[in-house]
Amino acid sequence: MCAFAQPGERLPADSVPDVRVRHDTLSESRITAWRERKENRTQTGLMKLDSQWLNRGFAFMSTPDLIKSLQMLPGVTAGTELMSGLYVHGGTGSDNLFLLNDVPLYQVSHFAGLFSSFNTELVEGLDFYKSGFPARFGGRLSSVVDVKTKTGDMEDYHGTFSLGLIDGNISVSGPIIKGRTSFYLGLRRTWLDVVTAPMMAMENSMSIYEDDTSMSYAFWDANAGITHLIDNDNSLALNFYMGRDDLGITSRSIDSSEMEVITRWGNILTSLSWDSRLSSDIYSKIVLFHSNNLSRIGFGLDETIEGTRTWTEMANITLVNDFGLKADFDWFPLPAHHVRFGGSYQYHTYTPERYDRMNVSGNGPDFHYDDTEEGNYYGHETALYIEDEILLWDCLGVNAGMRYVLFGVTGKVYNVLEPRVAMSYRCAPWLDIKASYTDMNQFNHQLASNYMDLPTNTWMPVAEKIGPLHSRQVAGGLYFNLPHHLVLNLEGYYKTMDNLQEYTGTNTFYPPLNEWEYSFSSGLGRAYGMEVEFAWRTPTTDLSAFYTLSWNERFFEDIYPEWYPDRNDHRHKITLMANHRFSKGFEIYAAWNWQSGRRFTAYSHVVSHVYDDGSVSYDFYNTSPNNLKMPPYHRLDIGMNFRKKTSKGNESVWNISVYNAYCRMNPIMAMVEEKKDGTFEGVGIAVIPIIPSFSYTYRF
Amino acid sequence: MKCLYIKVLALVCVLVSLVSCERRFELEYEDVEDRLRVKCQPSTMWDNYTILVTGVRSMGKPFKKYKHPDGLDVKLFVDGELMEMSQWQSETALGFNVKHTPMPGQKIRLEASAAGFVPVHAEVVVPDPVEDFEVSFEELEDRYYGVTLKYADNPDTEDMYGVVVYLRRVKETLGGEFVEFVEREVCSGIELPSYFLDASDGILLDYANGGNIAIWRDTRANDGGYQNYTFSVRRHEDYQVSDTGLAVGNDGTHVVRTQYRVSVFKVSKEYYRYHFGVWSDHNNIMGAMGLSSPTNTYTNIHGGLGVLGAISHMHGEWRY
Repeated sequence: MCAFAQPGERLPADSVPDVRVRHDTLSESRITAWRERKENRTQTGLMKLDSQWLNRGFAFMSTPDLIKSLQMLPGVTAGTELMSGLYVHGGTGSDNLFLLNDVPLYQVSHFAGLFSSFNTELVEGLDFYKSGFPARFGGRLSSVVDVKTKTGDMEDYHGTFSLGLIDGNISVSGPIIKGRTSFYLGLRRTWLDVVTAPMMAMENSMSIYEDDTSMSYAFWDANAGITHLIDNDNSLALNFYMGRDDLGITSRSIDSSEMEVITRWGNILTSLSWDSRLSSDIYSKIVLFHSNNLSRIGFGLDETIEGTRTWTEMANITLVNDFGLKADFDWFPLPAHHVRFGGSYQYHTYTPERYDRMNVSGNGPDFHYDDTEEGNYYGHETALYIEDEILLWDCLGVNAGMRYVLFGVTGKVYNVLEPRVAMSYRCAPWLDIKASYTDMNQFNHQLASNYMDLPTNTWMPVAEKIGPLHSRQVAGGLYFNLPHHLVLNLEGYYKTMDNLQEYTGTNTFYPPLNEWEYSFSSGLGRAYGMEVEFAWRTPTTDLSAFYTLSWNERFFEDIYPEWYPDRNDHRHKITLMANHRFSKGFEIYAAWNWQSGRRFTAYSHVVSHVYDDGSVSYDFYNTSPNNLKMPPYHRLDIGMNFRKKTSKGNESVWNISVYNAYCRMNPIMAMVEEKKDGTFEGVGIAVIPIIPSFSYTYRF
Repeated sequence: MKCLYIKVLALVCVLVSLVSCERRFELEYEDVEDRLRVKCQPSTMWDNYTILVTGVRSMGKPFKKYKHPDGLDVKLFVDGELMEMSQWQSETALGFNVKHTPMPGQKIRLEASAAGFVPVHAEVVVPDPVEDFEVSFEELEDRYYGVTLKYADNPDTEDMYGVVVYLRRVKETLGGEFVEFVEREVCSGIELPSYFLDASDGILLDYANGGNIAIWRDTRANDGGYQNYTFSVRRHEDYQVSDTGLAVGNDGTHVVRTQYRVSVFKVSKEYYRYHFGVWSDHNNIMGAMGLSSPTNTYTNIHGGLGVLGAISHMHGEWRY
């Protein structure tokens, strides 16, 4: 018999547990292993990852990284090496819905993409959807990353302390009122600023200039939450997240004037959620939230002119503020039905290029200019959904749903209906066949003029002339549960996208945004491919092999009159992962990744002009966008954990990680140079060598 | 500020050079065949136009192995009718003169082939001209002039436009009688609004092949079938002449006055995209730094490079 009730999910009628049992301790994660939780779902393209998987696997600089772990999975492309790019099924990278405790997160990385914003010590688990999106999710095209943090222990105090090469991490949790109220608190910070200060001092001492320059960079994030059990049927949770990157550059000249550039960017999320059992078969979750995304690039000049001290401060600020309320209901009217319905309202405020300037001369401010109100865009997003997960017969399951979205922006109101269907048929106890169709819309665009995740990237709502991004995706596959702990999954997908945006204006750090829709071209995208997952998983050993065969193409009439490959059109991608626990105190992991090279636009043809004096000049052309392929990308990451338990049950972990173990220098950018014989060759610039690291973690 | 930039850049360069290395690799293009570059931009303003054809070498091929197009065969059809052409040759290109005055709505098709090169073809439809437009013209400081166009535009279609401003100075009697030209048809550089390019002052567009035509696309809000388009134009300093000796009252009988004329063009999408692509490529600062893709130069020449574009023009009158 097919079973649709999942471990850890709410169950109908008398099988529903007391609400309080969902509150775990930090040390005793009850999250079921991802393999077990993956079975029997109607959705295609769903992967469930738990904290154990995240913390046992890939760890760049010995810091486990949620996004870089996702990059390993089939159907996902990472983009520029070491960045936190997530290009799912031909997506644009800015079309992934990251939810942290049900609240959308805009800035998902630190350090221009080097580290993700998620502190894995506090992550309980995540659901990663690449296709077959249920109707309860919406607002982005390509993926949903639904991250849930741990809640505090109701009975006892626990904590974690971790030290790595460039960052440190501390988290504590415990009861405020035993059995009723708990808290958790997590802090993470780098000390790169400690490293950059002496480097700048060395630079200043060797510099031929008399000016002194100092530079510091650091990122930090904080997670906090309080959970309160009102009674057996109701609980409240207050969650808070704040992440910041700070970059400061100060220059002091010999005439004592001082100039500084201070750049700050990050998120603040706050949410209050109320879980309730309304009756024996209806459950609700109501979330009130605020999400803030800030980028501030400031410039200050302190100088004395003719005896009068003058301070000038200018800042370019990009802001997104979302206030929202969402309500989700689970209803089990019949044993074969699990109905989910609900709605949400979000009030978006986009401030793309707020310019703030202040001059202080002598005694006080003599000039202040702030054009905040002039440049704001407002969006009202209302969504309603309903979905029913139905067990039609013993072996046929259907999740049919519909999502309606109304998005109002200045001068325009968009209405969209998004049908979602997923089906699963169990042919045999060891084989499921699944298929899905999804329709998704995205009402904001991330405007970026570069590959990196820089604070100059800006979110903008749809406009009168530029409608929402829209995608349709069909997916299907065969899912085998083989004997001897073997797993084999085959999935295929075909996705179309329209209203994609490509910047075509002056390509500077800050593209002009006052009438931004005139600097962008709209186009189409299509992506299709096949993914294979083969694994042997036992409680101590996990051997996985992922293979992706994919095509990713674009059509922008303004750029090229035919379809052309996207920059992230990787034909093949292979990932081999191994994780083995030799004993309770020692485990190793390794991951090898190979993929076809990225594409880039390069001159491919040349007109030579030979002059009478023998000199030659060239006019260069390229025949189509992204016409050149980089060499294949591959690298091996290895690591090991040494665990030791004390007599009191505390645990210490030494992690040793090696990124790019055989030091493959993969080019991250390329150019074309002429050789002596008049031919040309590609020159790739590679900057990421082997990176060994270690960290120490103590859990109590 | 400059010192700060230099130091920070130096630091970044040191850090990158500590770990970076160059890695040479074989170019893996989708194709490595030699191509033909074709440029042809018929305008309703003229009764003839030129087709320029150049051989373009694949960068994977040594210069010595490259041969210029031999036995070049070029055909041009207007609404299916083959046009006669006269051929000439320059150092770098073969040229073909076509005696033909393009008319709005005509479909122009071009085919070209040569041994060793991929055959090419392209099509363009001559756009309808702008039916009506009004101009307001204001002389500003520092050789600048503000120009506002109000022109009829179909709100249901996406159209591309171009504009050229001509300036000249005439010497007249106080009674307005023409005496002589002081400067004739000074075609100035044109500055576009900030959404078209960055807001840097003093940028003068000089399209390689489009001359001083400023082009824009119709994505602006429409107002009852009309649009307003405002831009500034700056007289080129090379054309600035001293008019000290020609000012009013110098001899009490003559005056020198500036006249302007605005020509508004409806340009084909292909023309717009090609020239915009050239402009974007020249202004791709992030691409030059390796932080974004180099800009692809648009072409509508299937199998080749270049552009077959078309222009319909409408002249305004000379005005003071």
